[in-house]
Amino acid sequence: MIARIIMIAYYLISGFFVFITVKNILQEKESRDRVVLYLVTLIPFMLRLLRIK
Amino acid sequence: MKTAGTNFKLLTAAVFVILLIAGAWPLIEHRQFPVEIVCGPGVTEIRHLSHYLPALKGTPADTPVFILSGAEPGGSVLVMGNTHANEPEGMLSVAIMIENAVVEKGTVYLIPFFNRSASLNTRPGEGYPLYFSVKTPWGQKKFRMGNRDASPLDQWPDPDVYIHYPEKQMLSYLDIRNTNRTWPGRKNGLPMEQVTFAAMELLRQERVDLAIDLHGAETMFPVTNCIVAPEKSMRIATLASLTVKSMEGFENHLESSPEKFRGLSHREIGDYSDTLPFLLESPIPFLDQPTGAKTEQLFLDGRDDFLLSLSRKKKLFVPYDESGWPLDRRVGQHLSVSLEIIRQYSRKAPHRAIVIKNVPRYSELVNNGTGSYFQNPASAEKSKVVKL
Repeated sequence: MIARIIMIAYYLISGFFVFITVKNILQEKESRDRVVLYLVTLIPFMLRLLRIK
Repeated sequence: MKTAGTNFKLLTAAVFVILLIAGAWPLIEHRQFPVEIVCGPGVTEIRHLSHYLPALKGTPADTPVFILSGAEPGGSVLVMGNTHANEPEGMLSVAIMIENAVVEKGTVYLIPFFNRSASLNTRPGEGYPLYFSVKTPWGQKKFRMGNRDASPLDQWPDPDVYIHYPEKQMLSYLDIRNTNRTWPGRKNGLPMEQVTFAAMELLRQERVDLAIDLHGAETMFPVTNCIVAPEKSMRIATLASLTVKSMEGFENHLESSPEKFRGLSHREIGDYSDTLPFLLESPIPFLDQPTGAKTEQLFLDGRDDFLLSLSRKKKLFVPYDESGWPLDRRVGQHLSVSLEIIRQYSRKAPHRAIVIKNVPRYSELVNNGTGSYFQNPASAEKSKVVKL
């Protein structure tokens, strides 16, 4: 039961990080490096949200 | 510094999406790829492990149990493959039994994908191939290569330390997803504990006499090319090991199941049921650390120059030469040793004898190849084909 709650919390946290990272990408106006960095950061969260890896 | 305008963002987002799809697609395909097994003339019933623990029903951990009942009553045996799905020799051996065996006396329970979740998982971090194919008279038969542990998609999070139930021994956190550390299992535990609990219920409810768990191990690991057995199984294991060595000409030795190392099938099945457990190891050079690239070819022929060099320096625990350690030998060893254990038990307990026909032994596998014992699913009766 606790494992299930932690699993659900993990998906919610992953979703939250995807949301704020995409928000940061949209708001970023100055640095191209940061845009790329945000996209790389997005990969593990996307893979888990999509239940791929 | 160049600014991050809309065009740049769109371009990088497009590259990101392309990379994500290119990386993810093979993993999605792998998880959904069906391994097809054709039920042979001996299969009388197919159940699932959830028959013994309904909580598993509909989960990725549930797995088919093929039942082959003989016309005459007798004893019974459970044979399991893919407890570790990166050691698929056991699964191939069980699949050959399902497609070919005819049971005359007693009952045979066969589970080809014991840790089914692990077979849906991959090990790309170590460069493992996602699939391997076996040559058959009708073409290539393709199988999923799996991982040692269940997929974290199916069981997660892992604890910091895995405390074994019911012995309370502390084990590595990863072993909570390893179905050779979660025996005897727990009814209300995590999915892999439920898998082993369901298997224990099968053994107890069906009063199974023998349980054979098929594995493979590195050539640099001493527990390879052997039968691991607890005290209660040792007499049968000794007779089987000596017989295959003398009659079939391949190396095999015995390892005693340690009393204080918990969670393993060869220990817990014996301690928590009346069944006699055996764990068989065949050498898999592919699993050794100091090899070249982990290719499908290395998995199939077991040939590697680095291991050859180590063999000359006497660093391996098995005989190893230029011929490597091909898949046909590994599968053949599993089949011969399994049949020999069953034969020796049947001699010792004639009232609980199990008589199986039409399963090839070591020399037949080496001469004809593993693939020659698989039927073509495309030309088989559809109702006989099971997708795993």
